[in-house]
Amino acid sequence: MALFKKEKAVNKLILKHLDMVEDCVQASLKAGEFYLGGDLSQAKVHARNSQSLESEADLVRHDIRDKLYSGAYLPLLREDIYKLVESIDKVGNAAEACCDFFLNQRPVVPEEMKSSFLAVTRESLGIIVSLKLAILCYFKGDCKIETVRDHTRDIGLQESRVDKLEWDLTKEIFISEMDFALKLHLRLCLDSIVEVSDRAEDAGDQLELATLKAMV
Amino acid sequence: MYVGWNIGANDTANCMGTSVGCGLISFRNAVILVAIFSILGALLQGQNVMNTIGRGIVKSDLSYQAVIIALVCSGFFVTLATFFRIPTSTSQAIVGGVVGIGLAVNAEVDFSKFIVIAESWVICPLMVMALSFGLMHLIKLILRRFETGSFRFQNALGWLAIGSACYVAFSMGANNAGNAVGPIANLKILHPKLLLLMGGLSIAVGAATYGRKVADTVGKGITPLDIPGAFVAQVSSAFGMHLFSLLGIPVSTSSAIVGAVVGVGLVKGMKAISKKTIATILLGWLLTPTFAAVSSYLLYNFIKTLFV
Repeated sequence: MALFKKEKAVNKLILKHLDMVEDCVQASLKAGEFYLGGDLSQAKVHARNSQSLESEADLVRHDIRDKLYSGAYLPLLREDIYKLVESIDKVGNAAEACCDFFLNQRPVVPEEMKSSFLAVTRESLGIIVSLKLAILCYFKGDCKIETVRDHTRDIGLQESRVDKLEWDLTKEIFISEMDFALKLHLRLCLDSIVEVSDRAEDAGDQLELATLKAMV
Repeated sequence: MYVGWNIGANDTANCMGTSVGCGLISFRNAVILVAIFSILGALLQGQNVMNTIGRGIVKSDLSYQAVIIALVCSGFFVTLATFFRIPTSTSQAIVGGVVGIGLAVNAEVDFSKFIVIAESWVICPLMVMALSFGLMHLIKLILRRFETGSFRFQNALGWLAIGSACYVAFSMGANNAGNAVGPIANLKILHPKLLLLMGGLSIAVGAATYGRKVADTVGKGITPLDIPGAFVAQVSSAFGMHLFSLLGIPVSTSSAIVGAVVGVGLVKGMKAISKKTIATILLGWLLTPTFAAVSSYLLYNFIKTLFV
């Protein structure tokens, strides 16, 4: 319908932005896996990919903002839409920051902890799959509100699993015989990994808020 | 023009208060829409109510002096209500003022017509309340059936709500411009269409200069509204008002929209309604026409005593 041309254009951009953020998080996940696996050169390739995808996603986000504030959607909805886009973007930012931490600060992960770090990285960055499902479901408008809320609940559950892994790993780090500086560095590394799932949970909350507002 | 300004100041809320209250449009844009659609309504369908106010209640020609007193007295009490943010009825004030002046000049007042009009003041809000209550239930049912709440869907619903607000503004112009210029039509000094245009323009000026206060009461004071609620309230009140305009009965846009907003609020239960606001509004409805009638009657007699 020509009447809602601007809105359609914004929706298209939002889905493009979502794809880019997903690719960015997946690239960061690969970079983390390669780093923990000891393959630094492959980790660098994926980290660079993650950085460029994050920059492109930022450009799309700016485009969305410009289109929204030049008249797409009613003013009442614009803020909610942009807040949701921003919250998705923050997931990409967190994934890129996590990648940077690995490649820039090169934390020394003891062999016995590598599997735990790998598990928490996969669980935290893997949350993007559930988030994408929920967002797609809502924006394409072909899901029922309850289905969208089921997906947001899945995001919350996955974030709880990450919290559990984080708690266990923190304990493992601090009861180990490592140097205290190393312990703190690993703890910082862990923080940057779980930041991705925290931001994804925020985006899920933002989406849930939008669905609640739509309910009568 | 003063009465028209009052109508714009008090009744803009009736057209756009719900849309402004739920954040769909800015007050500035609401005023522009009210101006356009109320002028259109006045010009295209304002004749019926103008005839009723002009010749329907008081059956004889009124002097300039009497007309001015009726208009000033009714306008004053509407200004007072607007100042206190009460969505009062300009129609009721004008009818009250005209009846008061009719009695003061010992003219023949058609009380049967007056009773029909007064009955409509009770029937219209109740009818609109029932309509909005039913319509809100229907909308809820439809929305829950399809369970779609995407931004695009909400956006489309929002535009429908703005469209319905324009319909209310059109109905307000059709019904209320006649209130403002009806007594002057009685004097036969200007062409009716020109009078209606003046009425419509003064409504637009009133909306732009002093319409904000009552808009807040209607949009937020009675019950918080969402987009479907604003849409239902506006469609119901516009339908009710349009119906009475076609019958030539000057109903109150305020009572129509307040009835509609209450109807929407009742869907959420009695707790969703601010009883204090409703009580204040009801008191305003009762006192405005009474004071307009009494003050027109007394002022006319006072001036007559002074100058005759």
